[in-house]
Amino acid sequence: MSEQVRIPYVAKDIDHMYLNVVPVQHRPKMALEILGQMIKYKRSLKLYLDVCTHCGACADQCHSYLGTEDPYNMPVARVDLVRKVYDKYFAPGPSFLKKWNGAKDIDQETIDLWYKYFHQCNQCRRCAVFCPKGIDTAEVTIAIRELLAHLGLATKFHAGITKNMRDTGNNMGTPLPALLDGIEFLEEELKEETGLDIPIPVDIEGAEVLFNPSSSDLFTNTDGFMAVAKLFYKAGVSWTLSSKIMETANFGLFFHEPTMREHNMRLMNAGKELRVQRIVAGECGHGWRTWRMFSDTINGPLPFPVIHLFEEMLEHYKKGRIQFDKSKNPEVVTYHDPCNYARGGDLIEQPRELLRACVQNFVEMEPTAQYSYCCGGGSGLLMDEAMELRMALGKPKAESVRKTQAKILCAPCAICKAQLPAVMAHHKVDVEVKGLSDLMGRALIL
Amino acid sequence: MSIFFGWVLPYIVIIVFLIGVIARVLNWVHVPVPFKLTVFPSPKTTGRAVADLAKETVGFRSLWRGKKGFWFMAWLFHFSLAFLIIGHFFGIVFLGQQFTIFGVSGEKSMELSVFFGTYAGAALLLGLILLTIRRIASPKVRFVSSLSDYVMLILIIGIALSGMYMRLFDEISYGVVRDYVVGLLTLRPIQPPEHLGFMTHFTLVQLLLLYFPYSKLMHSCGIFLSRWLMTRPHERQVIIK
Repeated sequence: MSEQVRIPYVAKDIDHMYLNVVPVQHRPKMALEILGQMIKYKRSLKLYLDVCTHCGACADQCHSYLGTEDPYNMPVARVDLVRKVYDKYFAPGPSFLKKWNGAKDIDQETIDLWYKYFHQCNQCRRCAVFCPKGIDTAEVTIAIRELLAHLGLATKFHAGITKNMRDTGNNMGTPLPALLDGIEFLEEELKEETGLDIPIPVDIEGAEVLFNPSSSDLFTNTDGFMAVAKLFYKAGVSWTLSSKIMETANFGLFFHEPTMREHNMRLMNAGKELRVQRIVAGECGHGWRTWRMFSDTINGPLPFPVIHLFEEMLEHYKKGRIQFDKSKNPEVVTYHDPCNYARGGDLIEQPRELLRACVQNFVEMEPTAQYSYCCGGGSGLLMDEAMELRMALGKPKAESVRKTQAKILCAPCAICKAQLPAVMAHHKVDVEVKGLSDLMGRALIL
Repeated sequence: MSIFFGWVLPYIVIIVFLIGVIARVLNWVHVPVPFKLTVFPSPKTTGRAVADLAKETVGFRSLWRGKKGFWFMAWLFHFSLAFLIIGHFFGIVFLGQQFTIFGVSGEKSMELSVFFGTYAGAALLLGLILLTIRRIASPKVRFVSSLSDYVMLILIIGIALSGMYMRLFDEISYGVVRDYVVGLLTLRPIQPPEHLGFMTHFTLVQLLLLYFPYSKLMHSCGIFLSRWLMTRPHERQVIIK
């Protein structure tokens, strides 16, 4: 199936990350060198390779295994692909014992297997919740994808997105004039819809809030983005976008740490330049994890906090600055926990409080919160050529949603929003996917 | 032969075991943790996080969240193992008189010692057998099993069986064992007991300890470090006026 996930054809596709295409015969040796380096600066990786007991508790908890039924997609088997090599070259002990542990030479085939199976992991971290040792396969996936990238084996899709981000400050690769044009259009739409002059400010120095949206919201999920403008307007908060970065996603997290750091720095610098009091992140799961958990390491200490749109709006709601009319959302709504909100970023209760405030019928799905299944698009597996794989990965989620019989599936993450409609259609679940800001926008009393 | 197994091997084992385990733990500790990897919901204070870690390592909460049957096997095995290790220590040090502290007679204490030892041993064996059956019968678990997983099970089953054999058919007095072990530890080794059951049990344990630092048994130490990565509290920076 991984043949679907394409490798760049030419070196210039990955040039912007200072990566090179490594000749096939040099790959095993270089892979070992990089793995050896990584276990010296990532304690998580080293521990996770050392402490697994092959108990198999993770197998039935991984949506990737449940969806594809490929035994290598059991988290333990996936990591074992690396563990065998690690045992052979880096673990201590006499070689006959290593052999008993399953130690194996590294060859081109191993690297092919790595490429295949580490691109069938969504880095959702559900296995970490069920593993008695707390082994988080996402950490291993991130490390191995980075290793592969250094061998020139980044996917074409990921490489393209990071290039767009570097060139334009958003994943879609939309140049600034087009963005400004789009924003102007949305302002007119807002005027038409509400009759009010609701601004969408850009580059306002000294504004209270720098809002960082998902770039896809500017074009495809515009209702959600306009809702944010309405919410800020109603709450009376001065806010601004930055022309330097209009993208809260951070694809670097998935496969290339330097890119992740660079994007993080880009946003923090934008915030510092505009002298804002706080940065508010829009609807994006993994991006939120990088802002919430990694900003301090990369840029800290920061002069301002980085918070999420939901935390911001919940605060305004509690203070009474914004009110909702529940009757505008009469449908049955269920909430999909994006992996990097619930497990990765401490956003479990906040969106639920907002949902209960703005919809009439909110039902929980099963499993939910930190036990929720991934949508199957996590870790940037959104490439069209991997459609068959994506549908298989999304299967457990589709079944969870089907059981709720909800009409609206609230999935406040740009990747989930791109993945779930296709999954729901494929598995014949009749539900509409919306962001939480869409729902808040509909119910907001202006 | 008995000189090797009784006098030489124990010292090799202790050195390999201690140095091996300490080196591996230090190795982990020396690798930095650049990013916060907390998995939420997580405790907010260090005290709570420690309590969380304790609950996890004593009660195996993660396994409880998954399949309850597997939780039972794993917990039964680990609990009776811990119970037996502690029991061995007190039983041998106090020669079975450890329960006199609760006011029972010496004879009664010995009876209790035998009683607990026998049942904990049986529980250990039951847990081990269930785990072995699971490893062989479940296609998923068999797929990820390597030779060492089976070797480990066989070794521990051997230890449990030889222990139960001594307990049921060929008892050895605590005093003999204590004299021998104290001799080893004080570097004045005495003649090892001429007792087949004991020597088998003792040698298997030594083999296991030799294997320990190079095997998955290191999870007994690593679990504290790896779980701390995901449970350690993470201060929140939210301030909205």
